[in-house]
Amino acid sequence: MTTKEKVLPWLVAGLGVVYLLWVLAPASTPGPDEFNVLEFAVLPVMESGRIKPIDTVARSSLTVITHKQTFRDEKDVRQPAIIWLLDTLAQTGSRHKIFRIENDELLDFLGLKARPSLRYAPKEFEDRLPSLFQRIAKVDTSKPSLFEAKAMDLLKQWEVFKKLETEQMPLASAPFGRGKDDWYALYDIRKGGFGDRDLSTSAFGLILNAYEAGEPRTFNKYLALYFDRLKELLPDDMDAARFEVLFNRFEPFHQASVLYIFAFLLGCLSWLGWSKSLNHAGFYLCLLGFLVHTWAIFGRMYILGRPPVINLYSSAVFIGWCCTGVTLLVEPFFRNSISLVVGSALAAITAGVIGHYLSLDGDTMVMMQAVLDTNLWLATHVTIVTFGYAATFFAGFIGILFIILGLFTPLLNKNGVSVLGKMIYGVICFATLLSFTGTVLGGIWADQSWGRFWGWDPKENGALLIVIWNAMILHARWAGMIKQRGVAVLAVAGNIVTAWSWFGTNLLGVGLHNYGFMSGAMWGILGFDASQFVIIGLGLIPTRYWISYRSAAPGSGAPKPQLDPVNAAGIELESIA
Amino acid sequence: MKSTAIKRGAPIASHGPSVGASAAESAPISNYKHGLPYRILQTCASLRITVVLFVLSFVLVFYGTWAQVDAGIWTVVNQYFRWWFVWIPLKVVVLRTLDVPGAIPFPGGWTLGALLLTNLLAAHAIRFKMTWKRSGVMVLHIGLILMMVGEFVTGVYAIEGRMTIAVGQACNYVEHDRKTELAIVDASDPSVLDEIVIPHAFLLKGGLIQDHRLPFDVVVDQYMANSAIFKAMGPGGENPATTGIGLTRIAKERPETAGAGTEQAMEIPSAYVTLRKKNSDVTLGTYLMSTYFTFILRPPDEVVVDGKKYEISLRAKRSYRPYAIYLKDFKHEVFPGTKTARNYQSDVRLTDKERNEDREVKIYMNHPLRYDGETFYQASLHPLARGTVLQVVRNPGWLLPYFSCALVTLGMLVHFGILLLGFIRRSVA
Repeated sequence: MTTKEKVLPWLVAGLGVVYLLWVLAPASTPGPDEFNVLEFAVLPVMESGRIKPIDTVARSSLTVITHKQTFRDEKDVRQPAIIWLLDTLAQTGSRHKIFRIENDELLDFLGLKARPSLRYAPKEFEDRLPSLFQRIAKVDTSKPSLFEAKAMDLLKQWEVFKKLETEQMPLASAPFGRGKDDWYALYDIRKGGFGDRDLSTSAFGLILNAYEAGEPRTFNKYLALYFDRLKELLPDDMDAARFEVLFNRFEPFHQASVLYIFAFLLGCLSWLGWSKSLNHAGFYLCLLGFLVHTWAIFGRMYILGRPPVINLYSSAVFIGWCCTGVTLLVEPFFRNSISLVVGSALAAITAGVIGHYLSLDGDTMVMMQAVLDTNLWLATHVTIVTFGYAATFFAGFIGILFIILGLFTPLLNKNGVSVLGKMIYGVICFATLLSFTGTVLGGIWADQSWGRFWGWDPKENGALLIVIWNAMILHARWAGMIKQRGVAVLAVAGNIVTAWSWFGTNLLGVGLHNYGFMSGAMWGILGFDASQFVIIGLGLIPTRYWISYRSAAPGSGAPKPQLDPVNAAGIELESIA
Repeated sequence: MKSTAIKRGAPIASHGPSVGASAAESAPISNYKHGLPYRILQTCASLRITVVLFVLSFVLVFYGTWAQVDAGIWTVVNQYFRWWFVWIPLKVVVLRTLDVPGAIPFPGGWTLGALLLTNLLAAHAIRFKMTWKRSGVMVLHIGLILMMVGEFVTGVYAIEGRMTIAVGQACNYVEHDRKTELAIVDASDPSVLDEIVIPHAFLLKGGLIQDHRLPFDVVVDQYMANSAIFKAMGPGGENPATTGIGLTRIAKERPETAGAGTEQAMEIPSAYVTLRKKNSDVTLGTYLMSTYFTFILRPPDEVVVDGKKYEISLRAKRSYRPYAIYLKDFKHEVFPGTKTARNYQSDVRLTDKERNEDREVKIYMNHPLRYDGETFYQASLHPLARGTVLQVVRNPGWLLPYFSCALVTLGMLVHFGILLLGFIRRSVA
């Protein structure tokens, strides 16, 4: 390797670290004549059954309304969600353009003109809302028209805004002199006339008054005093809240995805030249991303006090983590950038893209209903099953690579076929173990919880389908019915099966595992399935048309290359003549 | 000699001696392997058949999931998975994209399970040698056999039910929701339970029901597996009832609840029955009976025959126990500011005079009470009365999945571990 090649991986890793430090760098400490908004953000409140920093309430509420955690103020400057929340609480929030309205009919109804930013301020349309409420009240909620669906979404978002503006949400009155769980909404306390005497309400009131009056010193003074009292009342929650604000600001899953994308690109480039150097560079970035990702997962566990997978969002980021983990384990063995490319792509897609879409619903750190209370069987079941999903996807994506490389490029030579074949086979073995054990652990948990090990419920069936599919691939291979190409094609089909189990079963709307309703997800899944069917179709094209197979023996007149039977892996073939 | 599966085109020498007898004494080439029984066994053991059976199982589970969109989960379980064959509606086959009539036959869960079991046992009889290399697979497969047996035992023998207890009251029976019964209770002596019950099968069949134990004849005019109750405008017109609750309420038939749909709706069976004096045409009245009324704790209708008063009601099938469970207190915690349940807990007292049991127990989530071969799980709270709902399960095969899980996991770890070691050794070499 040349010096340049030796230096490159470290340079890339260094750049990655610099990037992370730059994101993490705290904003400059505000001067005495600036509102210490970042401190205000740490204030603990109770919302949806969890004590969280008010920063999380601001970010998740704003995300529900505007699909972003920041907004543009009247001077078109990007501002953080906490500013929006402060303005809203101070009753000046209706000037901010945050409501995202795209539908023409709806714009028309509200008397608004289309604009490129798609965002409108409450004061621009709130007078038209009562008639919208009336119009929607008579709608058949199971089969709304597009206008009605969009209107219902808007009204739900409006409710979020209004609840904040009227101080009904969050429960910001900390339980001073009350039972540990007795958090109240400021609205309820003010209504009851106790506003002056309840410390939380008076403190909040003073802080907000200072904000409205534009008096930063007063704001900061009361904030500091209130913090002192809170630290006495809830020391652990204060620490966790401060950590969570850092977590929010860092957006670790997003940062990890960025690193993964670059790792992916470096891995692909390594096939064109400077192989070892680029492979290492990509690997280091992947490793860096994995460290951030791990910190984030454990961070969530610290904040929530729960195992890593509790809802669809956390399953997505966990799958991403598993994919990276597999990459880091497998890549050093093969050093061909295959697992690097596959793993980082999958991690970026699941933790980055899918995770992002799943976070638009609101706070992703939710409290679990009673039967899902932390329990060893449940925790191990969910974690292992999710890992099984990741492994099946991993095998499936190597399969995609196999087909694309083989069909469209000359890169998949005889050795490549053998190596990729082994990789897919190995990962499927792993996936079979994980998905079987995970599924059965789920059954054991169910038996412990309600006395029924297996109920043939859609989610259970979905997990069973993955086990059957993976087992079928293995047995077909052992029977000699399929070789590397066949395994690759079936592994790609495994992607469809896993997507069905992960998301599809939730959309059927039946069974005890129905966690939520996502119509957009349905189209996403159908699109994904279609793409996989296309790749399966490509994979079934006779190999004599594959560029790799044709160029394997140029000019020699020999037919397609001899594919190694799988004895190389040491399996006693149950040969059937 | 390495064992192999079927050799196609292998010449069949003489039909040698039959299996067993002289196989040991004859020449090293065992003739019994050419015999018909052995060849059948070889076919049964075929790995290709395993693959085919996996594919068929896949299809069954897949369609058995889609079918739950329109049909109740228990119906689907009984039709698809706990029977020998099933008619899959074409509508389900095309994933509900078209509403086409008709159905295709398909092997059911028990058939596929039996075939898989046969295939597995045959394979082990013929192909598998007891080597360390194969140990993982053997353990794994034994675990799978246990699991399939467990599911079969559960399917045939498991009984699930529900026990609803109001705070400050005791209960000594379990209700089985999927069946109903028509109860005729002689309430003259409150310290004695005196009731006659007409079981589900009779109600389904409908028509005239006569029995010497019944105080009157019962004619089931209409039995609805699921219904909705509405206010009625008195007797006559659409309303078949002539007396009782049926004068102010009317029941209209509804289709079966789909799966355990998004609303988790309960099924509400109802029936219109006409009561007649025994062996005569004198009608005592046409009554509307519904589990709905039992559920909302409405006092049942009364019938007076020969000076005796009977209470009649339609309720979920009950099975009585020789012991009683008394609910002292029920705690229902939600997360602050939400409706999400954080914890349910039932503080009960179990009293069994026959066995001299009298103890207090706390039943809560993931912490059931096990007694007398049954397990009582905290399910939920009774939405109307302040009370608890316990899930009651009797399943003699409940331990099998635990053994199975351990065996299969162990087997997989061993088998894949062996493969992995081999791979690593070769990579390093």
